[in-house]
Amino acid sequence: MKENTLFNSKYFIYALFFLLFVIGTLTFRDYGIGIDDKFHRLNGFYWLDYLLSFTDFNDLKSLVKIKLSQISDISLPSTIEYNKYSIIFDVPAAILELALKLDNPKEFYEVRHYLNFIFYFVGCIYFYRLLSLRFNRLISFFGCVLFILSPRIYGESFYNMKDIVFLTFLIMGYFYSFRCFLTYDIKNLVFLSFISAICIQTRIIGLALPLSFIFFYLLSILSKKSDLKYFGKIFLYSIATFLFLIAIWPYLWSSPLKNFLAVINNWSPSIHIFFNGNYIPNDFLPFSYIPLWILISTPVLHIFLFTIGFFLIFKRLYQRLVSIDQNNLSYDIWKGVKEKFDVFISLNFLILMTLVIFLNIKLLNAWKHLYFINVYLIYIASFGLNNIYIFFKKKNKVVLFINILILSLTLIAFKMYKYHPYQGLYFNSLVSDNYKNKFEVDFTALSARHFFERIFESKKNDEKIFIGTASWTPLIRTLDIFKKSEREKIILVGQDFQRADLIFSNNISEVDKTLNDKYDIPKNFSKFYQLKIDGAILYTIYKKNNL
Amino acid sequence: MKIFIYKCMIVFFLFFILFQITIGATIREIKKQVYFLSSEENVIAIKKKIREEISSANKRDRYLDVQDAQLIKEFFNKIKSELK
Repeated sequence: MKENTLFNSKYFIYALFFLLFVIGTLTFRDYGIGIDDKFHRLNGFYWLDYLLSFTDFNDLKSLVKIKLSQISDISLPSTIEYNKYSIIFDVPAAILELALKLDNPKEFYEVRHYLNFIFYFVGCIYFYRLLSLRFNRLISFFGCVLFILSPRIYGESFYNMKDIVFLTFLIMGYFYSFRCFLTYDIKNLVFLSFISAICIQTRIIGLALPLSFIFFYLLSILSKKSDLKYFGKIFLYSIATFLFLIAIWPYLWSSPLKNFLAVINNWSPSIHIFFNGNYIPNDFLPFSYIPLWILISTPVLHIFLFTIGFFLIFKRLYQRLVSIDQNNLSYDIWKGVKEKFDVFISLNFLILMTLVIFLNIKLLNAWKHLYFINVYLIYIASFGLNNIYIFFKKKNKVVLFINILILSLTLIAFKMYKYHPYQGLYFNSLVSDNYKNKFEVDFTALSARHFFERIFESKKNDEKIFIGTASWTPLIRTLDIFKKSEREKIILVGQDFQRADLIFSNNISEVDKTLNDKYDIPKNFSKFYQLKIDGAILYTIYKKNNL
Repeated sequence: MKIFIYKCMIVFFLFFILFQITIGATIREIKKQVYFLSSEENVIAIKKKIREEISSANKRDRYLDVQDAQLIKEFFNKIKSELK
């Protein structure tokens, strides 16, 4: 195998993206309906209705109003809560639903999932372009493969309409930041300001992108006064970001500052989460919460490469810091633009992680809110990979290096296949089956679709089935995708278990199950069925004993 | 000047971490305990415990042991005599 003729070929990267696109296109229908799908649809139509109120499209307006009135159930949050959410995905998805004239819930949810995947796919392409600015084609290729073979991110790319979309725009943001570091030209700065505005609109933590970009410019001035000549452009970038933000965020139009502050204060609900065998309030997450989740749900290869990369980057940064000279001609903490990219990404990672861990940020659903840090994880892992590659190259053993890498990646790909369609619930091989069940597994209730399908398969007659829910999971949202005749068979009785024939249970609970008996399974029910993926229990069905 | 700025940034960062893992963590723990004591779960747990204790007491032949009963009896008699 000659590295120059195979993985260094641009056709290889085209083949990778083609394969990803084909797999995504063939499998997007397999994924369940998450608890957020309905909520995002509501958000999309809410803002589309608002935007149309400024136009004269009366037919369209009435159609949107009808759609909006049809989206309701008791488990959905109030307008005051959901109107702060991003419109970047939700409004185009609502327009797409209208354009394709989709009225069947299963179809419009699936189209949304596909659109979600397309966003992710674009993110993958940009991630490759980002790596190409720093590494050679071989490392960029394998770095991109590492990114795609991040099971949780890949799985969520079909139904996570906020975090994956944010991840995509953040990648684009870093790509344009790198381009701006190369040449502070107006075109790239305008692109960057537009993407920065989208990032902030999608997740408020997106503020990190413009702030860190400006901070790095200030660091440049500290080393080289001559960089002051770009000050005007950076100022222009800041103004453009602000203007773009106002323009693309209708929520800010009525009262920009007040509403922006309202978004900053809009955190997740206060609930208990199941973490490391205990139900703990998410207002008081332990410092270990994010590091442990990443450690158990990221493939071992990624963690290994990241550790090497992180160590090497910070070792070099330390050496730069201790040798700063007052009269240095080059920059202080980086030499050359590629090193600047590394420092930029690594310091962003370090500062964001430090803030999230120590500022007691309220989180839930594993590390879903922080999926964007996969950009940093894989970039730093690619840096580690690059150093290993250089080491093997010096020893003239590049073929061995590539073979080991392909083997490791194949094992991850196989495990992802095994998890299908639950890659978003992946645990790595460091974790025992028993330990997996000490964490909340299926917060987004993807398996609820499997649960209902199983019930409909076993009950072919029109007899009504009463289902209790010993979990915080709103089963009603998943029920939407089934035919009316099937939906009418199901009567959800919540926690009124004495009326229930079956009880759906998982370890998702907003209360401490060990203290609160709200979700206790009555003694006249016994375990009937359990869905497990790789040892992790997704849900358990309990059946009334006399049935 | 620039070396001073770099040092300030590093010291600030390290101080933030040190503060959080010492004083910050203690404040967090106190807040957590206060939150737990005033939480609905804790009220439910206390009610549950009281119910369990009353239920187990109801199953016993006697609530008090003989010596305690004698002691309380003498105490009440003394109070009664003083109130006359």
